Amino acid sequence: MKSLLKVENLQMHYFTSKGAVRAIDNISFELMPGETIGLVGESGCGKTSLGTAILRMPTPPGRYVGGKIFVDGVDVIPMPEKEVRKNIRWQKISMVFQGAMNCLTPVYTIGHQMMETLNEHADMSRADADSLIKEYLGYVGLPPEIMGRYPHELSGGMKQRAVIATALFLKPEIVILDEPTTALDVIVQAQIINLLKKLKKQFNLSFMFITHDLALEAEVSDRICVMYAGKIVEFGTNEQIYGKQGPAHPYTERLLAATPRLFKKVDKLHFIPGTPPDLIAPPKGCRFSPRCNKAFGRCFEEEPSLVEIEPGHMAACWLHQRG
Amino acid sequence: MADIILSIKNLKKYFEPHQSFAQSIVGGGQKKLIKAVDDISFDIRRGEIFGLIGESGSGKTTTGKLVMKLIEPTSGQMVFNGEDVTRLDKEKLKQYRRKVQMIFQDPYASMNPRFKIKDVLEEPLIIHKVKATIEERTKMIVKALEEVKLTPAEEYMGRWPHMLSGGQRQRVATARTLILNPLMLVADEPVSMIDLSTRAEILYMMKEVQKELGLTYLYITHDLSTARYFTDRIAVMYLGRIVEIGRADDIIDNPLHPYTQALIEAVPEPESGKVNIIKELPIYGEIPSPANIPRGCRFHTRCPYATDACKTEPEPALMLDGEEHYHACSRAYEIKADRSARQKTGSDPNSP
Repeated sequence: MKSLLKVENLQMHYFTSKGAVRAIDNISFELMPGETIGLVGESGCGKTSLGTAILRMPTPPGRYVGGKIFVDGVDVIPMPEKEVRKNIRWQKISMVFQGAMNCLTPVYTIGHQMMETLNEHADMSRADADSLIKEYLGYVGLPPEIMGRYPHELSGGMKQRAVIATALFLKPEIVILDEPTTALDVIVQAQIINLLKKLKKQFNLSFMFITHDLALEAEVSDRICVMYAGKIVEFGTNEQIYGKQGPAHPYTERLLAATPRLFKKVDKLHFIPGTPPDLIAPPKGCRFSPRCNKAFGRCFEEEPSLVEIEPGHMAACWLHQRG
Repeated sequence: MADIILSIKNLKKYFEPHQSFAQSIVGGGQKKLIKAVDDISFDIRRGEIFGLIGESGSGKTTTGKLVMKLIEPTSGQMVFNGEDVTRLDKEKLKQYRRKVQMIFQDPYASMNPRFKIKDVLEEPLIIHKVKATIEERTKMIVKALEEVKLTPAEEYMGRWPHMLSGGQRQRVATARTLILNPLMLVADEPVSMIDLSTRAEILYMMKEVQKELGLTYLYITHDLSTARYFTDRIAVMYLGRIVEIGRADDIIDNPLHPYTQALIEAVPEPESGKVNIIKELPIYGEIPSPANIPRGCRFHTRCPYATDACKTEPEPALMLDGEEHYHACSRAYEIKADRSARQKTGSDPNSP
């Protein structure tokens, strides 16, 4: 099967006055049609940066330093902005931003803001646009009257539904979802997740699901990509990460142990001591070694690369590599 | 009889909605009161961690503010440590606040960025006019920092808040409350803004401090999974009312109110094999406005088990089940029987 999206050795740095922050450091993966890849990690690990980098809009002062992003076999990094707008962004890949419900402008109606997106990316008469918006509001379970409402009149869940509809109506193949439920209550979160699963089937979408919540990721993603300090440390199927055998990388293992479980009574709470490294001058050797409970001599000297440890399962850890 | 530190009886807080000037002249339309807290009663025992759980709009934060006495109740009574604290004058209020301290949600906003950590911790001593020499104060600050495991304390005292991580800041926030030797701490979502890898670390630290010093906590959160770790007892709030209250394990293993059941089923679990399953949630829609509380049982508009009686009969009060497990659902046993029957036949979509 041909991949929809192929990221090859992507490097994106933020050029600050203190030096280059290596937010995305040599990342490669492929997204298959109909698949959901989950991106997990602590804040600052580069998961949101990767999302915006794929959409060809790294947040300033971020710049591409190396690598390629293939969408339908074409590298989008050297593409002129005009072409990206016309053919890629929202047509092929769209994004639901983090805290999307708060990035709606309070002074315009929902309909106005959805219309703006259509005007920007598609040539369409007003009447057509109007009916298209109504159609998509229906898909996300909102009545057409919503178009005349202002954001403050809607609940968080309703705003998030409107933002999801906006991400879908130019029929993209890939949707990047950046913490789409983080600010929502647990019941509304479950309702939105159900909606996303339904829409994925209905429109044959592929998702990149970004979250810090490993428990939520288990419920949505076919494959899980664990990031730490700008790098992928483990990549495996849902079963390989959450199944009986457990994850391979000590970081994933400890993140999972730090995730509170509702139905498992544990006496001691687990956590990972320390903080993620400074990405201007990352530590020598494995970037997780200063916080790792399984680190040994080699970990502090040499950086492990991401290698396949079983079919479809990759990890960047010396524990799984000999020689 | 358990030793009760805080007793809350029939507490209500109604807010008047904002009226425009024109409305107030014409007097047009009747005012709809926002019933944020609508008649709640509970006791917190000395030395326990009491969890208050609910969605946004359930009134849990308003309850926390009432307990902190940041707002005045509309009616009801609060007794703290044997003393009626429902209405307090300025002097008494200051004394009360010394005994009941608060840890805020956002550790980035709750500290003056121009204060060194030493100043942050010294401020409560100044506000409460604690008589002590400079050496004694420094000793108190060092002790508070050591209690929250920020060591060496001398080194942290000279730092600025921006030099600390979210977790370290929340430790400082805890130390700041401890310096006045309080009896009770109110913590409103103390870990929701902290990175997941350190969340457990903060809860663990708070629990250690609580055990060591024999403190009482009121822990307000929307997160059931941390509540199970952290709390002894849980009260579940819905639209300003407590719908279920009991020991944390009983509430989570044997929820009796359909709202609690829905809350529990909505929590994701980090296990494989659930990617293609659409969760069937035993609840409809979203929480109504507290200005428009449904008649009858206030949960009936979202309850999949509601009958006509639930809509028309007066709202059920809390009923006792077992030792100390209370719920406010008149059909709790029928619903429970129905659910376990469905689970047995395997028609329950949530059972694998």
